[in-house]
Amino acid sequence: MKRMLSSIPALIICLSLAVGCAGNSPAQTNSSQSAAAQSESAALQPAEQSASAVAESESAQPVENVEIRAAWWGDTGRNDLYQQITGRFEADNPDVKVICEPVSWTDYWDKLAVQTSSNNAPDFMGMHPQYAADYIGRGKIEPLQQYIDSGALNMEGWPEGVINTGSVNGTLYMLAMGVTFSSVFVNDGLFEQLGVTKPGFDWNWDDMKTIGTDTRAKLDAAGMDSSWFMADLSNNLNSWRYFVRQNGHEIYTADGEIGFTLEDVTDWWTMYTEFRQLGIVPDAATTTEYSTATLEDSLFSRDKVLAILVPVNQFKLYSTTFPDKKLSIIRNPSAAGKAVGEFPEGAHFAISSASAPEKKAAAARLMNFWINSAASLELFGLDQGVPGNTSLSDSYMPNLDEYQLQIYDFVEKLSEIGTPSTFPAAGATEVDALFKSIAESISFEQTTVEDGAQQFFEQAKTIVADNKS
Amino acid sequence: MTKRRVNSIIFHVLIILFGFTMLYPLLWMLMASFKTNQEIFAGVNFFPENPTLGNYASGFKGVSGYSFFRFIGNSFLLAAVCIVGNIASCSMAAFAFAKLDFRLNKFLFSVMMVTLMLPFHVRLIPQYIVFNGMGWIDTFLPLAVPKFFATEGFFIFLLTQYMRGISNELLEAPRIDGCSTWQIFLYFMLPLSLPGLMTIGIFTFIWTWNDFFSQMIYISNPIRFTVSVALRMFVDTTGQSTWGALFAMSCVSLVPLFALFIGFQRYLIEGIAAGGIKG
Repeated sequence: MKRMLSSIPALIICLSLAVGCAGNSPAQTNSSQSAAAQSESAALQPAEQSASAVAESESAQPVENVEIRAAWWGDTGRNDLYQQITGRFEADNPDVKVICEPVSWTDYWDKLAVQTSSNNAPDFMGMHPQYAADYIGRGKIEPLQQYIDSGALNMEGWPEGVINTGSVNGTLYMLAMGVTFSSVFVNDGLFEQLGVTKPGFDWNWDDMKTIGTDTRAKLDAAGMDSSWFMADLSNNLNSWRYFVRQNGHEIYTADGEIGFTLEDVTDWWTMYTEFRQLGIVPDAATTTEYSTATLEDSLFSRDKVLAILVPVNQFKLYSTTFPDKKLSIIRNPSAAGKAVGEFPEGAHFAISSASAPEKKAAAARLMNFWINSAASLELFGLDQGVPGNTSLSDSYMPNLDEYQLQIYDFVEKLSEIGTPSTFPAAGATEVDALFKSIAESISFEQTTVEDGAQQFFEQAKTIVADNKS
Repeated sequence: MTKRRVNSIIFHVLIILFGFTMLYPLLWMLMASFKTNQEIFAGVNFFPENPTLGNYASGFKGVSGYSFFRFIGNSFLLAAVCIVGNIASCSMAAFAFAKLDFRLNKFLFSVMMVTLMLPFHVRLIPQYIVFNGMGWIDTFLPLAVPKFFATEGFFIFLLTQYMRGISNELLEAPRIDGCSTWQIFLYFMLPLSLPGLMTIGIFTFIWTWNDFFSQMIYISNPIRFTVSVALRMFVDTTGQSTWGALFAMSCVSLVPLFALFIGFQRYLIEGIAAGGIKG
């Protein structure tokens, strides 16, 4: 009897877990109801908003005080900078108080996931395309068109292509903090020292093989047998995305389906397996060892690789962190005679759909101030890439140093070449993890390229299909 | 005699070597806190070439305009409240489990033990939703108030085992003299289990001081940041990590833990040895 009694708690736990899982469906209907309620209130909102705008312009007196929460990821330097911007916003908008919630990159997504699940997301937040599909798919992000219509967001001076980086299926959900592109940073000093001609600004995968082989020979001659030409990117989904686009496909189609072909995967991993065998990229063990290294501790920092794929807006960070290295920026390898891989990238700002209407309106004002005012842009500058609003570039251009000017030039050049891309589908994070793990097992020769590619192709399809329902 | 001496010397040399390997990362951090950001990773020397206090200065400047002293104060405040809560509530629960005869005693004890096996991540979102409903997000309440409801199963278990070791005769004497259960608890049980209470107090302090995830989830405004959350702000994988300041402030944040451990080491061992595992 006693034994039975003491096993009851375990039973209760199991039962409550089961109930918890079953409880999902009512919760879902609930949220869809509230979404309906929200869209109703959203429909009412522009009227309210323009009314309050009129009231504001008529009398400078603030009508009502609103407190909004603003969250972003970043280091201490960025937090100070962003707090100055919100400070200037508050000075201009005395009726709005901004509570800043800075978090570092990895924690930001943990925290946002928890907050969102209980409808307590920050009113104004940083959003990244990598994660956006999950949040947008669950209806947690406020569509922005109504704020543009009401005049709260002024999109004058924004190129169409940049606005569209925040659109999913034709609905605008987020606005770019800045435009950036993936680029390759090259350690010029080391290339000169070795006597290897470094790759030119426009180079392709064939160049990577010839220059890489040349570098390998010179590195071996110099006794640097634990250095390589470039880091192994076979597990980097973003780099592969360029490759897929060069083949004329997209990883995800505009409707959120799988858009790549089996050959896209097979060719990619076959190419990198060859690079690995030729000693152009590091062996699997080295790559894994350094996969979580910080910037100061990375392969690039230790002169173990001569070139590295990085978003171009980090050029200043790299240049100032490694003052002893002479760095330059080149494009990602292109494919000779094929489509362009480059597409505008970058982080975005978004508004939570769960917030109260007056908070959403205030958040839209903060967003507009942040990306559309000289007062903000002269501070913000190139922190997240080149700001989308081209008409205000005079406000920050004088403040740019030599590194930032190089970033600006690179973005300018590629904006002309780059073509728009589709949005990662819901479940993209899972696909990313899958890609990494299969690429790793191929690099350790536990899986053949053919098997791995087949596995990835099929499982990615399943993941995307599961996330659709 | 000489053989014993030699043995003792060998023993101590080994112990010191072992101790050094355990302490080396800490010593490295201490040395790094006096190095410049560049030297931390580039330099090969253990000792800083040009010792600088700059890291401490920039570290104490803190995050978002709030000095690091503020975060230390927040952590101390939170830890103090949690210690009071845990000692008050867990001791009562443990007393009930160990010495009071009531229906379902065994059953409830096993329920309590089951809560120990629930991982934090299972509770995270339901808990967050509840606290959000109560409007407690971005305050210390979700971190402190539960401690007043005897939610730390491990401490209850530890104290229950400790109290079971105190003989019933000792408590029957005051009972015959007319003490109420409440008085027995207050005047006899609590003083007798002092080492056990000290242990859970110290553990509460260490756990609260070191806790990162729940504090990160519940606290958003930098004005309420605790030490562990603030330390994290120095490192960001997408930006420039201020390693020097991080190491400097990590050293500072270790001081209370060290002081506590050195001061109360005796109780810590006594409490665990007498109560805990041997039961």
